[in-house]
Amino acid sequence: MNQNKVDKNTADFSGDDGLDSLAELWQQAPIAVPVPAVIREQVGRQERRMRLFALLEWAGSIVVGMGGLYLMLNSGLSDAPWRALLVVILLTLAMAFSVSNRRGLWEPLEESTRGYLDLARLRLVRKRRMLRFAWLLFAAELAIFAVWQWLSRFGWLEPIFVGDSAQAISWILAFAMGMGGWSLWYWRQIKSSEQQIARWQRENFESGGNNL
Amino acid sequence: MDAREQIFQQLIEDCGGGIARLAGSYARNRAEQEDLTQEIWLAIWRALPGFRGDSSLRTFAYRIAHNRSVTQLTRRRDSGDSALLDDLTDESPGPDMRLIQSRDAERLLRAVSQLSLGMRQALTLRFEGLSYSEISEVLGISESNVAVRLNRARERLNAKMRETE
Repeated sequence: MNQNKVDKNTADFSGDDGLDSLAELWQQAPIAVPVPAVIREQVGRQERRMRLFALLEWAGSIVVGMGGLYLMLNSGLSDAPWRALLVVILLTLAMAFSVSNRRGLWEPLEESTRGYLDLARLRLVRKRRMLRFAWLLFAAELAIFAVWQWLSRFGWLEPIFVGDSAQAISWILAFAMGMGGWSLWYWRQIKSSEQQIARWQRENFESGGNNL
Repeated sequence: MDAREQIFQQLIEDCGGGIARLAGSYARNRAEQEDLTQEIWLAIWRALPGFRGDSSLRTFAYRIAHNRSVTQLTRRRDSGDSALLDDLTDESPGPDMRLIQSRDAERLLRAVSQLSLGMRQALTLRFEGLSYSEISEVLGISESNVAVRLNRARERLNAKMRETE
């Protein structure tokens, strides 16, 4: 945009607000001159990539689920159908949660700064919910494994853990600790992001009333 | 070329430089600025079919640009801006005068990026030549509120510019 345009557009200012010289300097900031064709090409590429990622995510989930089922049903275990059913239930639960947890996160409710800050806050709420769900799912799986193992004593099902039980418990504990470490780190990230958003909100209240 | 593409091309020609500078005030380095600029243009492209002509195209584009920039800020983990523009300082070789102007412009950009979000938004739009009423439309605030933000922004900006002299 050239300076003439700036002058024309600022003509309705009630007077000199003392920013004209800074505006002139601002216009001299070194930037890459945009080439419309290149930008259009980039935009087209990004859009295709976004569609591809969404498609891959769903396809990946379906392939993993179907693959798990296939392996389970061909494992030769007498309780394979029950195990397959368990995989389907857990996978359905996880996918249903994933879909519901993403609802309303694509676009803000309104095209305003407040709308986008609200959206950012909602994303943090959903991240926290995802964290809780991950732990709940883990706990539910452990409970199911324990019940399964107990039922296997009566010969109704085949045991999940065979051999050294101490080793199995060590693996579970190691996994839980790893997950605990990751959760702590993730929780702190969420917390710091929340503080940052709150700070922006405060700054805007300070600088211009409640109309952010 | 269909109507959407024509409007898009016109917007790039009219607001391309302004949006790149605006992105620069939210980014910490050249790569981040380029990423943000691309995201803004993608968002504008996707939003164009929903443009009803309630505002000018320029206002529409800048509103999206600002909102995308806010999203960029919320994604960023740490808020330290010390690396801001470090990558840019030596990128404009040329005649001495141009270099000095360019460095002053970079200093201004750095100072603007250190302002609070509300002030930064109002100020970058003002620098890009938007009127108070257009700024109020983009940000969804009253014109008097715009004036208050700009006034405070000017004071803080001058102080910051003096600090870095």
